[in-house]
Amino acid sequence: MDRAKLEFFRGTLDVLILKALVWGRLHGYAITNLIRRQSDDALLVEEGTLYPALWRLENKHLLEAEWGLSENNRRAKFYSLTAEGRRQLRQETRIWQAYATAVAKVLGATQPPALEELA
Amino acid sequence: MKQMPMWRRYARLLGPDPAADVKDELRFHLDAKTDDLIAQGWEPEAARREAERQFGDLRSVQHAGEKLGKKMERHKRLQDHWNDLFRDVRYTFRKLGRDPGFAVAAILILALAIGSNVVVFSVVNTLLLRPLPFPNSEELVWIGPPPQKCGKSCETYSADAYEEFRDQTRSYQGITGYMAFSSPDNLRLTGRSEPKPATGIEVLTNFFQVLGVQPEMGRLFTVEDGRKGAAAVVLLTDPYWRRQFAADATIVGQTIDLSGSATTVVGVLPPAFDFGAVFAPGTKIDLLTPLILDNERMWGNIVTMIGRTKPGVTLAQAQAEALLVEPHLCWKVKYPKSCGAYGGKDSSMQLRVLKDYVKRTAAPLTSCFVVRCSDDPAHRLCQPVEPPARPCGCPGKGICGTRCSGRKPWPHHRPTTD
Repeated sequence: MDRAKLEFFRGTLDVLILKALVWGRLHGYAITNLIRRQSDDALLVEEGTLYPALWRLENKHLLEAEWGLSENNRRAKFYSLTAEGRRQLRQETRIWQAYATAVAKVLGATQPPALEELA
Repeated sequence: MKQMPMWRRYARLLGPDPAADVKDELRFHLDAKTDDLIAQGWEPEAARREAERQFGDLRSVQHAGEKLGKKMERHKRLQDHWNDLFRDVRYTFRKLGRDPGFAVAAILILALAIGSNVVVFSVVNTLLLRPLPFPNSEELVWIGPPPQKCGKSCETYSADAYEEFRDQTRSYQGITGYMAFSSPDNLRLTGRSEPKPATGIEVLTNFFQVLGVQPEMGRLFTVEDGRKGAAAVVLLTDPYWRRQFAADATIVGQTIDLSGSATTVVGVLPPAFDFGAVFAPGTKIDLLTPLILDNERMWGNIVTMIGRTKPGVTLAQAQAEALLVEPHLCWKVKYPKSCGAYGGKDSSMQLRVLKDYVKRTAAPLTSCFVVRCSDDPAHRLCQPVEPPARPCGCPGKGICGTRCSGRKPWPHHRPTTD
C-alpha cells in the first residue's frame, strides 16, 4: 500500500495531533515526525493539512502556542495541550477505540451472526 | 468567562502580526525539513526544492493561516476588551459598595446630569433643529427692538401701541401677541378636587389664527372673547387636557374654576402646539386665556408682537414700513404726550424671522418681572398715576415696569425725589 495515500478519516488528524503533544510541547515539523515514527512510517501527515489543523485547534483553545527556540536554535512556534485539549483527547481516544473495535469486529468476522439476531 | 492573566494585556504591546507569524512558522518547517534532507545526503539546493515539493501548495496554506490568524486576533482583542470592562465594572462596584455615601452622591449627580441634559436637549431640539411647528412659519416675524438692557418692558408694547401698529401697517396678514409677563403656576384650578396650580398665559384672540394653529377639539378664541366683560373662556393644551382631565372627550363646553372664576373650556389645542417650546423654553403652559386689551390699557408695555407677513412681502419691506409707523405710536392714545415715545436709536424696531428670534432670545417665563428704572437710589417704588414721558422703563425716565401675572399689579416704578 502507498503510505502517502493512507488517508485520514475525518477528525482523525485532530486526535493524532492532540496525542502527539501529550508528552510535551512540539513544533509543527516535530509533530509530523512523531506521528510518522509512532506509526512506523504508515501515517504521513501532509503539511498542507497539518498547519490548518493546528491553527484550528489553537482557535478552539485545545492547544496553546508560544514562540521558542528549536533544537538547532531556530525560532519556532511550539504547541502544547491545554486542559481542555487533554479532556478532548481522552474523550476522542475512547470514541476512536470503540469505533475501531467495532469496525474490527465486523471486518474480522468469520461467520455471519446468529439468525435470530438478524430478524 | 475565563479569566485572562494580567500580563496578557501587554503581550501585544507592539501590535500583533498574524501574517508574519504564519510565514515564520511555515519557513521554519521548510528549513527543518531541508536540514533533515541534507543530513540524509541531499544537495542543499535539491533538498530545498524537495522540501517545498513535499509541502504542496504553500501559498494557499499560508493564505488560510493568515485569515484564521486575523480572526483569532480579533477574537483575542474583543476578549481583552470584555475582560477589561468586567474588571473595571467589578472594581467600580467594589469601591462603591465600600462607600455607600459616595455611591449615592455619584448616582444622584449622574441622574441629575442626565435629566438636565435631556431637558436641554429637548429645548435645543425645538429651538435649533426643528422648524417652528406652524404652517409657512417663514412668514412669521417677531416685531420688536433688538434686546434691550432694560429687559422685556423695553421690548414690548402697550395695548394702544399694539392696536395702532396693527391698524397702520399693510405688510401683514395679521399681527398678534401675548402677555409678556407671566409666571409658572399663576393660576389655580379648583372645584374638581384639591386646588391645583396651573400655568396659563394670556394671548390675543387672533393668536392661533395668525400662527395657523387649528384646535384639536372645539374652537379657537374669537374677537368677542377679547372684549371687556366677555364670559371667561379658556383653551387647554393637549398635555394638560390629558393629564388633568384624563382626555375627557366631553370637556368642550364644560365650566372649570380657574382662580375663583368660572371659565368655559372652548377647545383643546393640538399636541403639536407647545407654547413653551417656542416662546418660553423650559416652561410648560397648561392653558391659554384671551388677553383682553381694554383691561390692560393702564399698564405699561405688556404685549409682544408677532406678525404674519402677506405672501410676497419681504422682511426688508416689512422692516422699512415698521420704521415709518413706529415713531407715530402712542403709549396711550389719550395722552398725546406719550406719542412718539417708541423707537429711536438703538431701541427701534428690528424685525426678525420668528425662528431666529426664538433661537437667540426666547427666554423662560420669569416670575414677577422687576424693572429697574435707574441705578439712582432716588427712584423709588410708587403707584402709577400719570402717563409717562416714555412708555418703557428705560433708565432715567418715565414709568417703569409692568405687573406680575394674575390680577395683582406689580408696583410701578416712578422717579421720585425723596
